[in-house]
Amino acid sequence: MLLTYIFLLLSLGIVGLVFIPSSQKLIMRQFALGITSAVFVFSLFLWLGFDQSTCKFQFVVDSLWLPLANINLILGVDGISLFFIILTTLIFPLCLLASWSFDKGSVKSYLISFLSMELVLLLVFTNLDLLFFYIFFETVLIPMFLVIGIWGSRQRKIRAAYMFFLYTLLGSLFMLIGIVYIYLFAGTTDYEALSVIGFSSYDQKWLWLAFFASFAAKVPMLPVHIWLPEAHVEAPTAGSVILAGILLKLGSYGFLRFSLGLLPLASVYFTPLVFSLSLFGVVYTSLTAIRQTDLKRLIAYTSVAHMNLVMIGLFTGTVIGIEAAVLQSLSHGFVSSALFLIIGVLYDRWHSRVVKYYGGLTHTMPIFITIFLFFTMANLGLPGTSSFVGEFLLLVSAFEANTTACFFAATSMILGGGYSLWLFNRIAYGNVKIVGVDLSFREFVLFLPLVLGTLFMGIYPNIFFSPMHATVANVVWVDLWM
Amino acid sequence: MKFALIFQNDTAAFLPELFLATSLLVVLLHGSFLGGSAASLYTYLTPSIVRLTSTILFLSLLLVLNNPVESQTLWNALFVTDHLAIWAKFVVFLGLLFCVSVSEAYMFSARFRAYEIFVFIIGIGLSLCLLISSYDLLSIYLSMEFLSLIFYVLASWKKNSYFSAEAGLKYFILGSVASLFFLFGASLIYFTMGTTNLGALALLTENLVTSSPFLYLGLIFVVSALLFKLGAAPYHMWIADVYEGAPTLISFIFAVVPKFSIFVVVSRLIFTSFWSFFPSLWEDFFCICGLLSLSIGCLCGLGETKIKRLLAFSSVGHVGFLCLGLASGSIEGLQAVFFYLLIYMLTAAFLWIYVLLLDLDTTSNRTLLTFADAIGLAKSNPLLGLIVVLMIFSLAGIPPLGGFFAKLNIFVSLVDASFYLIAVFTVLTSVISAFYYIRLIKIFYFEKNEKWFFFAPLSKGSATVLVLTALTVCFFICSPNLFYLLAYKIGLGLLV
Repeated sequence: MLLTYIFLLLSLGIVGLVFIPSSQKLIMRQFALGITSAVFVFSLFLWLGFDQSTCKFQFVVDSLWLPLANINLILGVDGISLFFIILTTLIFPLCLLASWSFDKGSVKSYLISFLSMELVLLLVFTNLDLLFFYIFFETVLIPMFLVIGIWGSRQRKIRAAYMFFLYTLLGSLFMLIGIVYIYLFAGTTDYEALSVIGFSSYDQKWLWLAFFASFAAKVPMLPVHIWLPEAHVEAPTAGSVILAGILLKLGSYGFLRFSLGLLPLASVYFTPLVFSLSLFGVVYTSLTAIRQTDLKRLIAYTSVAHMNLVMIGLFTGTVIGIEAAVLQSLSHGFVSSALFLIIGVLYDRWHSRVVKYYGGLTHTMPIFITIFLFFTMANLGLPGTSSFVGEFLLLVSAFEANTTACFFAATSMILGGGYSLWLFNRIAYGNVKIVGVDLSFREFVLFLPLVLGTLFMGIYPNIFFSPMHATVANVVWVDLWM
Repeated sequence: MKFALIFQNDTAAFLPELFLATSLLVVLLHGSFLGGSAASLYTYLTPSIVRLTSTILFLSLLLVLNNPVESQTLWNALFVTDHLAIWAKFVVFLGLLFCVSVSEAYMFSARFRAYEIFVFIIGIGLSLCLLISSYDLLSIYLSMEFLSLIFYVLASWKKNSYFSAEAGLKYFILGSVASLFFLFGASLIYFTMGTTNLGALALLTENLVTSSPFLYLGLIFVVSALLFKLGAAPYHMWIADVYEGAPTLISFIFAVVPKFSIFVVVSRLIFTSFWSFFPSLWEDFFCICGLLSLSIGCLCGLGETKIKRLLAFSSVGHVGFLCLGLASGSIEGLQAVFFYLLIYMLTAAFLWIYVLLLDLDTTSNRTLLTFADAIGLAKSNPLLGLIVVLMIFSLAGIPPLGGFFAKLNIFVSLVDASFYLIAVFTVLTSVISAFYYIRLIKIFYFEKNEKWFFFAPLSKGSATVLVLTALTVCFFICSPNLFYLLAYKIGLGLLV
């Protein structure tokens, strides 16, 4: 029932926003913020009421959709999706808070796009039916395309919107053929039924490749990663935060749930492919990040690096690896969102993202620079922050799987230091190039949950690991025993 | 046929057609006596004739749905009535009702005073009903000629436009050649089999061991002529020019109304009479047509800058999808095709009415609509802009809109028949064609307009149709049962 309430509340929010007159901008923003915060509180109840002892799906909502084709809408939460849901519901209020003064175009359409994106993302993470997962996976493209294209900052936004749309569409259509094949073979698209029906090794390999096409474009893995720097740079601040914080997780969530969960033999078979692409991705994008002159593009490339590291962890086939991958995804959700929000603060003041123009900010914006320092350290994996836990455990699991892979993956920490520290140094220290007003109360409140979350995950990660144990052990059991 | 039962059976089943024929004459007389003479003070006839025509179409829709006879062949096996025929006629009348609803405002702005266009619309309804019910190659030919003649005249309606004349002439010449091929193919089939009746042909070809090349040739000619009318490649050349040149209301009729009926005829031919030729002929034929149509639809659409031509090429692409659905040869394929046609008809109706709205404002000397005409939509009518965006996404096949489910069904039938490479090719062309759909959205929303644009307010008729079609397609995901069950019923109702 809790899930139904969450979705009802969001739908009511969207309908309510339609009826508020367009001139009442403050009321619209407050209303949207209230709805998304309420949804966040509800999702915390999901965590409270979660039973950690079982790998079965909880809070299940099952409703008929098309009985004659045996496709129904089933929603449920388990150890993996729980934290993605909480991440989503946390990031959206922060986004809305960040775009409080954003007045380009129609505020009402902006808020409605964001609320519908939240609805669709929550539906993606809770869906247990393959076809509906695909439907909502693709539906996210529509509001995101509009957000990048309408509220983006400069002309290049059109190219970015096209690239975002077409790269993900191409991959996903291949996945559609895979889903259609599964439906015809098994007679159902229900995840729980499919995890019991096995596929032959040959079938699994083709299906894995079809699913890989789609999820690889979303993660993003190396040959099809180029939409990410474009889309992140051109989107408005809140759009970038959603992209980095949540949409990238769709790829790794899809890999975990469907490629590893339903197609274990093929996952083991294709592990060298994933490892190679991810390692290339990590090293290449970290090196490219060092060269960037645009703030957002730099953080976008670091996002690619982190997500590729997550991919290495997922395909190690160990419990540590997968749990660390999920935690690193969460941590990346916090840290990357915070970094984009930081850049948003700078952009709000000076409307420029060129690194060269910023320098010596610590003299006039000390609180801002403290938070920036904290997240820079989180980005490189300082012990005490969540991303250290994630990266360290990922390296442990990679070492178990393949020591060479671990060696190259470990360079990510070193290169991470390179780009993060250099960026921070140029902006914060040195001669004062630019003088600014420090963080307002709204912006401070914006960063507070992210700081607390990162510290919490870094100091006591067990709370986050415990719900995952049962589900991940189930996935690995299927992997190891097949 | 039992002559004693003519009035009991055959006439009863043909009530809609008889009603349409009579009402056509009535409207013709009404218009000619009441509007054209100085004595009647040159009355402005359009409002009354619009209402009269809508009433006639609505009543014939009721007549069709309340068919008193069961599925059987009529009139000495020239015609047939079954569930497919009933629902196909329903769809035709629905399309014509859409057209008549939006026509009043269009006729007023475009200064069409001729009432005969409504006589022609009723004539289109009559000919399509006859075409749908046809069960003999000759009756198909005659109904098709009836339909085509009306279409040729309608395409060249705008007397002060070179493009309209070009459209009418091109359509006439090419359409006549297509009809010639149909007749030639039908005569080859008659030469081989000795009959032109579809039911008799089904029985004769049921256990065919050897077949003559004349039969194959005849079939290819016949189906090619039918695919010409649809605009499938490689017979698509006329579509762009005709859709662009004809007055927008007429293009709307061309795009929305005949497709369902001609697909009914095609499926009667390939599923009822020549079912045994599936592995040898129809699979390859429709696969090739489908793949060619998809490629042409996606590649030619990329280069277009005019809206009507873009919609024409997108319809070529959609017909490609439909041909592939037929190629799979299964009942799921046929049901997928009918489902897709229903959804496509609704989406195309919406977009063509939108183009009509744009056309109403070009009171300037420019005769053709380019993309630039649509730029101010987001500011002047935000709700319409959002819905147009959603409908374009539905055409491109993005979930959760209706168009996605239509494409999903076609994919299911393709993979079911193990056409994997074709499915991959379809995916690639879908993505390429998605580009020119989102380019339209870019133009509506992302570009800054330097000039002020003004859109005429929507008339009541067009607003009703737009809202109904938009609600059906956008909220399709909430209740898919109706469309699926209807498509299944139609597919199963094909009288074998």
